[in-house]
Amino acid sequence: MNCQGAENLFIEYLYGELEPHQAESMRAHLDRCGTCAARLAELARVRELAATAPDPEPPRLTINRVIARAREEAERPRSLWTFKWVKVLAPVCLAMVVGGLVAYQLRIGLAPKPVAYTPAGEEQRQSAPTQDAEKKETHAPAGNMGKEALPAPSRAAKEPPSQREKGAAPAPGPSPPSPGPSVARESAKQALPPDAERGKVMQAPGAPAAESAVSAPAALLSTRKEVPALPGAGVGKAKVDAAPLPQTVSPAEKALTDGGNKRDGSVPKLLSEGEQALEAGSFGDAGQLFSRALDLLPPGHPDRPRALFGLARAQEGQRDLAGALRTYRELAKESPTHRELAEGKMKELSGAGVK
Amino acid sequence: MSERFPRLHTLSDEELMSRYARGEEAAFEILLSRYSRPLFTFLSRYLGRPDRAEDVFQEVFYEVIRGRSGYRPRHRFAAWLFRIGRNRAVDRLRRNGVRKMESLDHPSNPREHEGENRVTNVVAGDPDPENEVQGRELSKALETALASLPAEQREVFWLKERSGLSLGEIADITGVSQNTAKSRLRYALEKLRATLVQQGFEP
Repeated sequence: MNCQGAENLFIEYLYGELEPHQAESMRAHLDRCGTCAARLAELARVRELAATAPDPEPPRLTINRVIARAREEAERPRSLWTFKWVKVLAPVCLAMVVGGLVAYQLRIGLAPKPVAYTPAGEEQRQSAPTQDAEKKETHAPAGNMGKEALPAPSRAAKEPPSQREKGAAPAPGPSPPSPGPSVARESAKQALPPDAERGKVMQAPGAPAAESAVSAPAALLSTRKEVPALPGAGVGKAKVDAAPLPQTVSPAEKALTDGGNKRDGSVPKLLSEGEQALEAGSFGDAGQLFSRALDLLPPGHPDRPRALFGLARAQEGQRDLAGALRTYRELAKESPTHRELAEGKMKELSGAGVK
Repeated sequence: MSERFPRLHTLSDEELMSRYARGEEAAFEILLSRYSRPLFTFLSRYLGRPDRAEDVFQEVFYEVIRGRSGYRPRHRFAAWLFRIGRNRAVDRLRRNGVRKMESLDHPSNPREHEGENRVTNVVAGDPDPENEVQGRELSKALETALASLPAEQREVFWLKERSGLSLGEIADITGVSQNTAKSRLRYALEKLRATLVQQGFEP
């Protein structure tokens, strides 16, 4: 260590902050350098003198006040917040409560609101009795077809017990007749005011929840009506087998579903009512409901396969076999998950001569 | 105090503070006995007036009491205490509009402050009358020298002399680099020596 290095470390040496090996080097330098030793001794002497400066004592009264405060605080019951585990658990519990509330609110907000359901078939019967008679002649009892169309667990979940006991028919009396391939849609069109054509037929007056849901789909409904039916197209009776409705939903699709439901809460209702109409053999109503649902569902929405499948079955029920074939084709194209099912149906229809 | 709490007396500051945080009031009394004088000395020298130091001293320990549950033993208690003390003292100076630290060593009205007399009496406590006179003169020269220190040097000097904190901790508390704190301390010692020499005392 030279003089410059020693000077740089005088303060640390004076106050005992040098590492042992540095202190040793300093001592060695001071032993052989009188100048540095004298400089350091002067500084050390100043320290010694400064140490003689008196330390004023705080007044006893002030000390007593502080002790009294400390005692008072120590005797006070400890706040829960002073425990570490409370600091950890409190935010977690808060998050759970908030999350639960949000989830509960969302669930309430998304749940389909009860809306009085007026089967369109009844209105059709009231307004177009002659056409009903025509339908009776051309269709098999719809109740059986409806029952076949839906898998048992799904039906059980969607129907009230009383209705399950009664069978699929929603109205008392004879089974509601099913409309003919194109007649049903035409009769619905004629029997209802222009608004009803856009779907208001399915909701009771003054049911606002469904109103917003039915304002858009007129265009698609009309395009579907343009699908030409194939009268007497080989399949004498619309065969709707018991294949389950496509409901395979991946987590990503579920997210999409939720998004869709937020955009329009009536889609689940439309699908549910469409399936009820299928069960009841009201294929015309079912077709309209599924068409409206499709109008509301954007491409790629996980509920679209369900709606397409329902529409295809309704078209089969209405003897619109070419339309059904096209819808199954659309289903196969849109949903790889349900392609096999759709292709099976397409094969079946093609085998019956439908093009 | 140590006689009252022999078991606690052997504990470190940090352990004592942790115990007080858990409700053991005696631990706080030990801490107070250890630090009341060094802290009060620093505050008195920093603020220049014992009456201001009293208020701030009380505030500092009240803050320690309030903050006990937030204290983490990995931080040195002394550094925490003197940091609070320094900050409260700075607040007090700002509140009073004092731009430069006043000096206990050069009170505006000596009769207002008892500190100077005490200093003289303590240093002059030698039974030999000749030594007593010499001691009184030296004490006076020392106080003059201490009063002549620039505020920044005085702050670092008294923190180092009374708190037992390292240069790094002092640098942290005063918000300067360690080299700056070291330089200020070195200049303070040099200046004290020069002032004493001017007054005829050769350290």
